[in-house]
Amino acid sequence: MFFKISLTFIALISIVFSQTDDEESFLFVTKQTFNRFIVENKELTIKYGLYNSGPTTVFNVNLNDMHSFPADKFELLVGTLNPKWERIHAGVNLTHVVVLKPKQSGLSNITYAIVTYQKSEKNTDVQRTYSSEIGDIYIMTSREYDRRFSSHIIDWILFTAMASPCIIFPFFLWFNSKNKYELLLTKDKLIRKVQ
Amino acid sequence: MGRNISMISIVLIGFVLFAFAKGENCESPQFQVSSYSTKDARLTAESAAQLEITIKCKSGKQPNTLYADMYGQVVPCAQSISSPGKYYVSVAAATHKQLAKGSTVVKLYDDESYSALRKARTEDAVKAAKPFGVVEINHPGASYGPWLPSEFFAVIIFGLIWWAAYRERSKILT
Amino acid sequence: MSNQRSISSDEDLLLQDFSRNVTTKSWVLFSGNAAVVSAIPLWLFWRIHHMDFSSYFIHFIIGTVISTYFLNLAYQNMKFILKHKIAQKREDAVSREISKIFANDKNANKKDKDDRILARKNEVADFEATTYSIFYNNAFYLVCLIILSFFVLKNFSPTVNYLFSVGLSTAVVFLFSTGQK
Repeated sequence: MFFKISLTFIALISIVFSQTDDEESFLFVTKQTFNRFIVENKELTIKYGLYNSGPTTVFNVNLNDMHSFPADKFELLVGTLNPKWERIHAGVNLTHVVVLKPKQSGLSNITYAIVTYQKSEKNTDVQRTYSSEIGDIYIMTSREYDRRFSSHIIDWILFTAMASPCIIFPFFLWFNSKNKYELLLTKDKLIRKVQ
Repeated sequence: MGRNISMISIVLIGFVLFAFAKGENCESPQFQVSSYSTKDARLTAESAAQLEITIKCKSGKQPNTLYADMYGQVVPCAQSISSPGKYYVSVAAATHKQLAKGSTVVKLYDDESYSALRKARTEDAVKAAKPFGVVEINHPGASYGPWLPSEFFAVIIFGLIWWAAYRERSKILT
Repeated sequence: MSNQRSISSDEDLLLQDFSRNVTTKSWVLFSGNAAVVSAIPLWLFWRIHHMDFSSYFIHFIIGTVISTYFLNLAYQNMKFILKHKIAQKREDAVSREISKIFANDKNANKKDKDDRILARKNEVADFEATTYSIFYNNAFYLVCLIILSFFVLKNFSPTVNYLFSVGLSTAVVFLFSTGQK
């Protein structure tokens, strides 16, 4: 009997404790790319989504993603890879956009970003969480992308200019000769008619 | 005695003023904005816009937190750890059409004005909350590239020439 | 004696009319045109498909040679077919032209005039057939090539794209060059 009571008591206490854990906020971080294709020397857009799921504000949020995009392989065009937010209120959905330019082509792997934050202003306990990762990406050479997508209108115009003599010149010669003889025929017919 | 009192009061007043100035908010801020928005709709599947704001205060210190009302959402701005004084705010749209084209006004709020905004309950009060500053973002729209690939024009031109030649040839051969 | 001579010259003219042999001058003209028309699309493949000359040298040479050879044959085939039809059509006009020339010459006899007419008709028909054959085959070849390379075979590798588009368009032009309709 006593055993049962003590067990129930312990169970209740653990439930209460786990309940208090739910009262705290948790920050979900997603990391994804907007690009359909990743091409070297063309913009690569990365979006970080931060969502504060809990009922309280989180403080001193720090996102560090410098290790995913080393400076020798990627050039930073817009945004920062190390942003911080003083506070993110409950239920707020934030986005942070970074635009990079890959310098090399080939297979590459992009892992998660590291995010640290504090659950309260006074308590300096730092919570660490990781964003989702993008995984393996294939960076196309600009030649491949160009081949498929760029408009080659100038090339076509030049080609038409180069190919037209081959077509226009024989046509012109034939047309002259044809006209000359057909004209002869019709002129004579007209003369005959008049006579 | 009178002189001493006036001296002390001047010093006290000086201190008070100094204290006020130290804790003073940013006065007459100047905004330097560098904006970005998605321009190539074939390369990316979704559109994004981003503002990088550098604030220069005539007096006072930089705002602790900056909030921006961008495309209808009020979000806190990120600050860069490596370069303080720069604030970043971004918006992502699920489709290319959702990001409004042309100039959009972005209102900035610092701590004070933001709390005023939060307290406002009615439409009028919301409008009355004076923003810290106002900046603009211009989105020229994301382009999908030329309507018809240029091969079509070449094929049409050469096709017509060949078609005319074919008809003429049939005439000759009858 | 003179009869025999004139008969043999008649035969010569007739033979020339019906022969499929082309003169050297004609052959050079055809080959030159074929080579030019085969070479121009190479520029297109270089610029748009990004096939640089150093790596695709062999392919380009093979393609151009084959294309030149068969285009040449196609020109000759079509010229032969067109020549007869054109000759029939030009008969009247050419005889009028020659008659005008001979109108002031009282010494001409009918035989000479007929000879002149035949020769002139041959010449005109030859010229028109040659030029039209070149014109038509060039247009046809380029249309086939563009359609095959940029629409049908667009997503294939550059090598396959080049070889098949040149090969198929050459084959198509060659096969249709003997058409009678």
